[in-house]
Amino acid sequence: MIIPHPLLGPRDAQEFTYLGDASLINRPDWQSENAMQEFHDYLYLRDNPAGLHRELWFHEQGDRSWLVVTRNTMTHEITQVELASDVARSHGRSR
Amino acid sequence: MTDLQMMTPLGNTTPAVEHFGTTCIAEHCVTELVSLAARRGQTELLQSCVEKELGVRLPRVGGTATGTEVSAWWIGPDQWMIEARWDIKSALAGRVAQGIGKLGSVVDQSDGWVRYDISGPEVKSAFEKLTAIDVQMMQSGTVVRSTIHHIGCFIRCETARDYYSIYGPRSSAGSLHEALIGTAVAILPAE
Repeated sequence: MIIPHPLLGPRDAQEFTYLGDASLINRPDWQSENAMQEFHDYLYLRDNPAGLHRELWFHEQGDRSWLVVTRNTMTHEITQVELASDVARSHGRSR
Repeated sequence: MTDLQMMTPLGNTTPAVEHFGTTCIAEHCVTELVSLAARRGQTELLQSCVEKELGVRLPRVGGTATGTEVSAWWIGPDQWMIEARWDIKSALAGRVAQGIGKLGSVVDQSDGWVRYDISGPEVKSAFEKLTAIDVQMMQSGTVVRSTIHHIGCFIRCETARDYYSIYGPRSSAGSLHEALIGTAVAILPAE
């Protein structure tokens, strides 16, 4: 599988490691009223779609950037790749 | 005072240099290395400070820049590696840290890496067996990070299709050297 890196162009998937669902970026607020329930859902509940899936990949043997890759789990077709830092900032997650 | 002698990454007192046909594989160990990461939003200011201090403009994605004293290459978003010749004794890490203040973070990487220089007109045949990167398409003054025999390495193209520097982890210096020599032996006759 080839992953089209937004900065470096097409790179072999062997250079990357996979973390999981891109929703992991949206870590709940530990101070909220129902933090326990939110963290339970965050940790244990995952969608398992047959089709488009947004997931986190780490370019470990490359520029060490985290990516959000939109991949079709049935065909492995990759339709979008973004820097995870850009995605996080667009969600207001950045410090 | 004790007269200390520098040990090369391969554990010798002199760097290993080997020839295979027209290809030369040479251990290069007299360099000082420093990594530099810009704090968020400070990239442009940091670049100006480094240019003023060291005389090189920190390069863009996948690029290298060579000045009179130091050279620099891109290693990741807003991150660079800077290399200086050891004999200049510039105490590079301290000098960079002082030059940039709070605009970025500096880490001395000097003994963390081994550098092998590979040169010769046939060198592309060796890279075809060593890495998935299309080294033949690399232009002079570019750099990529990928794997050689499962070892994460920077491949710096000094002169396209003729002269490359490979930087790998110093703790894997022997394994990386074996991979390079093994490939050279397999494709090129030893002299």
